[in-house]
Amino acid sequence: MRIPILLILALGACRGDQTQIVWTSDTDPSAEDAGSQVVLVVPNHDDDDRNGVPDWQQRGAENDDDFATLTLRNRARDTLVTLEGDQDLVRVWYEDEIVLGEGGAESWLLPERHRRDTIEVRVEVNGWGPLGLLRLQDMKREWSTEVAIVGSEPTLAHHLLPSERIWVMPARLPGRNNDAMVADLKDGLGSMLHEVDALTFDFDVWVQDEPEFTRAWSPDSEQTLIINSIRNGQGQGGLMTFPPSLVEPDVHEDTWGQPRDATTFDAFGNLEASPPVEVDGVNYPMGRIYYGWDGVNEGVGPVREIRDHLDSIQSQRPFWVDTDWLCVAHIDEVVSFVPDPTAPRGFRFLVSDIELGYQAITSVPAETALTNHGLSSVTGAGHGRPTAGSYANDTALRAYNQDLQRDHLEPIIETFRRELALVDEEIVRVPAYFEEFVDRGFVCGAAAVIPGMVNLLMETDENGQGGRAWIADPFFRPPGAEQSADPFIQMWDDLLPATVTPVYIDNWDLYHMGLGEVHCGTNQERTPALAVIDDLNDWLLEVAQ
Amino acid sequence: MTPRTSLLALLLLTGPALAEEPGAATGSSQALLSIPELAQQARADHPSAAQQIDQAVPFTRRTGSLRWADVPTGPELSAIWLDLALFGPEERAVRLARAELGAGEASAALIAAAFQVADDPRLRGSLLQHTRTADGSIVTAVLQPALRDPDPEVRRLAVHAITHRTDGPQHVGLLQRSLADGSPNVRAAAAFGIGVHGSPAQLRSLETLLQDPDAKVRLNALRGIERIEPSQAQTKASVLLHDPDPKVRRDAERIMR
Repeated sequence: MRIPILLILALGACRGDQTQIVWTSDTDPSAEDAGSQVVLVVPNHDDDDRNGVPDWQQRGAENDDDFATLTLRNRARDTLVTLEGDQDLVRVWYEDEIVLGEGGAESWLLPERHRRDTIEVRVEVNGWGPLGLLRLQDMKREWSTEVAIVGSEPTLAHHLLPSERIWVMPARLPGRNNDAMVADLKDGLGSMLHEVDALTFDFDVWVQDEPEFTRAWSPDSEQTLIINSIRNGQGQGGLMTFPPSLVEPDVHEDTWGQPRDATTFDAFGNLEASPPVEVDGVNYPMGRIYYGWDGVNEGVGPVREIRDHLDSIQSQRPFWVDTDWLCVAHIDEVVSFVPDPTAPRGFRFLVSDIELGYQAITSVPAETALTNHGLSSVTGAGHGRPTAGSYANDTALRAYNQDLQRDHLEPIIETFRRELALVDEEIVRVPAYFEEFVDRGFVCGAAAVIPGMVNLLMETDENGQGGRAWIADPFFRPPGAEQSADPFIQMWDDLLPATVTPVYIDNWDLYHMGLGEVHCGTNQERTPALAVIDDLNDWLLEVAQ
Repeated sequence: MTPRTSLLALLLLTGPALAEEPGAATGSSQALLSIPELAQQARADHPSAAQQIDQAVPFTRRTGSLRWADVPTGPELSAIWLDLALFGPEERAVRLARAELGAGEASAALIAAAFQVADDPRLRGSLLQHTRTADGSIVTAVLQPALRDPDPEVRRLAVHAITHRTDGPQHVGLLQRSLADGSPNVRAAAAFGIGVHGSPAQLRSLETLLQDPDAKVRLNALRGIERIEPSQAQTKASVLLHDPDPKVRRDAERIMR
């Protein structure tokens, strides 16, 4: 005798009606309508009614749309639904009542009027990862089945995802401005570029460092979580209130850690994600998170609270490399990723290389006059190095850079190779050169002395296969000379994938001489293609099952 | 000495560089130099520039440190900057930045005077910021005393400045003395500097440091030997093949290859 059909579950209100999940008890699990036994839900952490209280805490906020809707096609007379797992993190709503989980009960008998009927319930969660199990039981026939409830993870974007919004802060102060860079970005990006107001945010131009945009998706909805760094404008306020200013329905912000514990490692130039990779048989559909930390000590990495938060995003399992040797200590100073459809996995890993930097420096006559480099180091306008020879003939600088390559850059390459299963073909070394920077009366560490070109803004096309790389102009050429005469630019032009168009922009004054580059002064939100979201969701469902 | 006492104090300085300083006793081996008095004079001579200095708005570097743009600078204004750095009412970060900027174009004697007055080691360190590119008189007037500073980071900065000076090879003797410093950071910096500027005459000193308890010192000593006399490096590297520190071992293996 066939097992009678008990229930058919349908996950309704799907994004584009593409993810209809049907679940039956008696059909072949591989059949088209067999569906999934997992429901994916966006954590309800936003504030859709804008009353200052997160929706989860309100138990039913007005306009709240962050639920998964389950359609239960009930074929039984008496069906008992129970919730197993963390009762504090899941709610099941029937009409306007919480019937299971936080604020409800542990079990619920479907109302009599819905015997052998179709009813809808809504699932709400307050977390991510596997959170609970709904067990549906036919009381008469002693038959039951289960649905896993999974909160979707707020994942970091990587450089292969299409650019959606790019942020920069136009700033003008006496004697210093970023007019040139902002103008180039405006011309190139058009409406994609969004300006951060300098007066409101106290001329804190390091837009990369304060907000980290993350997103969670379910078939029903998506939600942006902006992680607000504890750096708080290097303790001065600055961009601290920028993430809250972006909050709207389906966009919320949160902070991990205490500002009093903040170090430079807590700025989000030190928090990035790789493109999708498979490592040792494990698929990471949204890539892996990486940041600078020595792996042991507090104070030389992001605070424990943010590390724990990142660890909880299992689909992007984080790893770290030592960046303590850098004065600013941000991972974006030495590595980046660019799309390349001809690469084995669709991307190239860019990493700073001293020898290539030295090659570029010595490829022009020592007497070659340099733009900007010769400006006064006392006022911080330049490096006091007026010619190519100022670098080429500096034996101490050369030795310092050689040691950096051996002690730090090569180990970083090895870590990325191991953690992302990189092959040689995926690694592209790019020219760079550093100095040992003295700051506030102590030896601070390495800082790019030729503008850090790897510290770039990758504006990615909709197809995720190319785009424009906005790169710091190295100015290693005489004043007035064409960019094409610059040996660093020549080298970069040769090294970048054909699908990535470089745009070399002037970030000298506010950024380079302030110990940052283009990436540090910008931020961006990226929109994953539906296929990427589906990959990520599949990953979560697989984990839950 | 507190900043306020030093405000009233007249500094007793020695050295030939001081004879060139305004207010110094020309031709004497001793000079009396007061930064507040010099600043007061500079303010009287350059009232507009002084006002601009007082009102200048700093920029923030990505490290949180400060810098200025489009502000009046020059040797004639250095005393104003240094006076504000040493005795000004502002928070420490502003004073450190003022010290960096003020010392950048000051005479060796003025920096030396400020160096003696500054009771905050970070302030003394900030005064050394641009000594790498200052003229040769800075070595005797400022960097040599800084090598004897009670604060190890200040000593390290002095070694760093000497190493990165274009006349570094002339001051190998100073670097060599710092190989015996009590701070491993200073010894490591000195070993690096010897490696860059030294000659075979310093090899013996570097060899001794291969037994140093600090790994960074051993590493820099080994690399120093390699830079000065590559042919000897392999022999010396062999003793570090079983070093407890992986970086030292890795570098020894590299040299052996």
